[in-house]
Amino acid sequence: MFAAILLDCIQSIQGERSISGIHNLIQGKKSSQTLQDARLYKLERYFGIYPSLSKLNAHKTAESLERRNFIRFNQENHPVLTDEGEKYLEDSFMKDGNFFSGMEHHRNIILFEKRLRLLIQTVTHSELKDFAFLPIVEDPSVQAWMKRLYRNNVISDLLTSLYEELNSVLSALSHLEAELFTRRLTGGGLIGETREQLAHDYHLSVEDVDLLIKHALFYMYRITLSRQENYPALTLCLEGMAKETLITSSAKQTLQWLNIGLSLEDIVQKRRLKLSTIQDHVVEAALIDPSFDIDGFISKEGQKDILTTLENLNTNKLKKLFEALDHNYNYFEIRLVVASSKHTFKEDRHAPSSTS
Amino acid sequence: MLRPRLHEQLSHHFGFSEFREGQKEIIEDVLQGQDVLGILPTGVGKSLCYQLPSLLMHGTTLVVSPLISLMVDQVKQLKAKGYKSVIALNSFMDYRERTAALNQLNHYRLIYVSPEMLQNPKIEKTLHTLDVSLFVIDEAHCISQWGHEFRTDYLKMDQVIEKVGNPPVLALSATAAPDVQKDIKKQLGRTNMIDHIYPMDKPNISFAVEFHEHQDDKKGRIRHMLAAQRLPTMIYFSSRQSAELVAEELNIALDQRVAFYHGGMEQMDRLLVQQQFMKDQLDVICCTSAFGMGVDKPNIRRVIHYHFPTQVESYIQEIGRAGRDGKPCASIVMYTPHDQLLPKMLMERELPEESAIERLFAWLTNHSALLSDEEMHEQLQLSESQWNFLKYQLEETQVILQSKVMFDVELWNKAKMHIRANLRKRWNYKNEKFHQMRDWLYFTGCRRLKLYEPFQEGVRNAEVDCCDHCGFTIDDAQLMEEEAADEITHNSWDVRLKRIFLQESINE
Ligand SMILES: Nc1ncnc2c1ncn2[C@@H]1O[C@H](COP(=O)(O)OP(=O)(O)OP(=O)(O)O)[C@@H](O)[C@H]1O
Ligand SMILES: [Mg+2]
Ligand SMILES: [Zn+2]
Repeated sequence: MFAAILLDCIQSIQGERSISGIHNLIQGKKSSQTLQDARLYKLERYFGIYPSLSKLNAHKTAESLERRNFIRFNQENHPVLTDEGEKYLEDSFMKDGNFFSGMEHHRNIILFEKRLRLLIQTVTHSELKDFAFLPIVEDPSVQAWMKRLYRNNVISDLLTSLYEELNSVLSALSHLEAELFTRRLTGGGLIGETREQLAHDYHLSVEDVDLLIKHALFYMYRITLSRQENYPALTLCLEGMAKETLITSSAKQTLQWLNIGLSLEDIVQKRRLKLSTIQDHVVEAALIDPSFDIDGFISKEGQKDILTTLENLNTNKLKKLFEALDHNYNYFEIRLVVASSKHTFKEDRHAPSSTS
Repeated sequence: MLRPRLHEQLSHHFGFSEFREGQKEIIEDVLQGQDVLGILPTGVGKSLCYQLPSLLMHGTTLVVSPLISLMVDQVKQLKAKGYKSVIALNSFMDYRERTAALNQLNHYRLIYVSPEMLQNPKIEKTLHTLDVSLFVIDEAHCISQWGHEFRTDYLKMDQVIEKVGNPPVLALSATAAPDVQKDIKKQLGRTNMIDHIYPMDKPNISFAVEFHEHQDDKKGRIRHMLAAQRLPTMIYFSSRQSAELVAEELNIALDQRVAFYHGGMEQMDRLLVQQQFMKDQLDVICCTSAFGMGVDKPNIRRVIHYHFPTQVESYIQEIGRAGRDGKPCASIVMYTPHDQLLPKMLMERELPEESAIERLFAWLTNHSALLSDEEMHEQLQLSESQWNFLKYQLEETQVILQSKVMFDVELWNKAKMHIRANLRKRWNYKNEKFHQMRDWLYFTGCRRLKLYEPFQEGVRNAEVDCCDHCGFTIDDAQLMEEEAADEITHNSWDVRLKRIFLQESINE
């Protein structure tokens, strides 16, 4: 699965970013650059799906893809898909549905997973009248959430419904995903297995184990979200989850200054940051907030100019755009227009269906 | 007078009917407000010696413990048993958790803390405000074993005790020779502690050392041993990689569940492995010393050392995991001549070489203050523990005051001499320890007698075959037939889900 995801990213990026850039995206680095990349290349779904992915492992996997002739590296040392890679990607898991929606949900998924694991353990051990189990999730806020449910008597008759909901959701996933997900669960006196144990038993890499389980969680989360009435037990784990705000806190501060009327230069002075950093913040806001107004930074004509060239060239490479526009606009202006243009395209946001 | 009441409290709070040897004596003195040094064998129940008093005394009991995992474990276990007002302050807590914990610290009766945490100004300030009625140092031999190098905060314990109002002190260990006992008392500033020293030999363990040519021979031998008898077993390694590697090989070769455990694993996986082992869902655990101290599984039958530790104290700690139920168990150390290099390398990573002192002072000449620890490692090419050692020495000789460099030729010359002498002393000490361990491996007499010789006079009679010198062989050992652990069956996911949710008995 990790290979397929990497190939998917490489295909969309078309040789314009390095493996490190792709790593940042999958790992969910909260930098303006990475957020922009995710939008530009329509890879939002993979943003932040694997926070513990190491750079080393991303590179190692890329090397093995190169050895298998799925990718090659161009002059800038950026990966590009080969025909074989294209074929492999086509035949991979993507066909049966890809339920990742990282940009929208990655942080909620982390919380959802912790709650679900602790809920399962608590519900089944209560049934066993074993109240001295060691909680598998250590996060105190999740433990406090669990205690609240427990005290409010919410979990007393959850055993069967939680079982049935999980059974139905897992049946809709691939056999492998259901296996891995279930073997990793702790509850009812059984202790879950480690990623290494699962990798060994199913002849997978640890990354694949992590991502397959993660994918199952994304599916579970989204199906629960879209049909709460059918999944009352799982819905408990969604309690109070806010929509993600992905804007970095540093960018937020810049926006606050902008909103009270400071110029970019004023903010540079105030925050003792480089102009380019402040500009990054503005581009980030343009990317994430559809209502962000860029008119104050570039004229309407300029915007039109850049948009036309963007469509004609069909590339996201700034350097090419810069040159095609005869150096009439600076990089900041071009990035800003490219960023805000992304909102005119609609993202695919289908809720998963239980039949796929 | 106290006795009947103490018994009541023991069964009331812990459900035990009797004290084990030494517990009552230590607890009585602690409750009288005495300073106590308690040496009890591994697995007897040293924790109870402060857990019970903490419930009977008015204020807070502060426990200094060397390993975060150990603290967190004990707290979880206490909580699971219903002892709620207990907490472990540790560096894994994020800022919010820590602030929340500190704000209500006075609600806790029992507080576990690492020596490093005690130096944190915020925590120190809060501890000030507590009414500390007992100060405990668990695994107190760490003061001597680690304190001088990479855990130098252990050496500041006396100051901390003073700052929290000089409460009575209880130091506990299972492995402290007379010189270490003296060092503990000295470092704590309590030379008049009352000794409660009990024999620390384990009558239910047999010893064997095996000599092999190559690493591969060791692996083959281990495979053979495990296949012959399926029993809860620990295998100790001195590197993470070899623990992982051998675990993988054994997993392939044997029809048993084998997993590795080390400090570099993800938190949840660490917990899972430990729990699987506790619940007998795992037969063999390949681990580094990160797994061990305080681990309290009753039925471990074999502790195998794939690499031998750098000192006898660590070895005794590690075999202390075996046979905590009092039934027969065995220690097997595997040795190849090549293995000598590993502990040497470990030691070199811990202590700086003498040439580092010149480098250090050359650096100081060009700087007015120390940089962050990470930058110092980098600039002086020192490991964390090497730098900790030197930094402590600089502070002690007052070449460094509050991170500022005090330039004074005379002071510096004296300091250099002082540091060099200390360094030599530590090198000698470590080498001695290492040779003591190695001599034991090569010893041709009774291993039990020899092992405990530095710690006590004589040993109790072994309840099992004593050692390879006295006629013990692991292949014939009667290590008790365990009730066969659950067979490894890989049910499909829907069956496992049913089992987790206890649906089988209801539906079928
Ligand atoms: N009086 C008692 N009766 C029965 N069981 C006891 C008693 N005291 C302690 N125990 C049990 O003995 C086990 C070992 O206790 P503990 O972990 O405190 O040992 P320890 O001496 O600290 O060992 P180590 O040196 O390995 O840390 C625990 O499971 C504890 O519950
Ligand atoms: Mg202990
Ligand atoms: Zn003997």
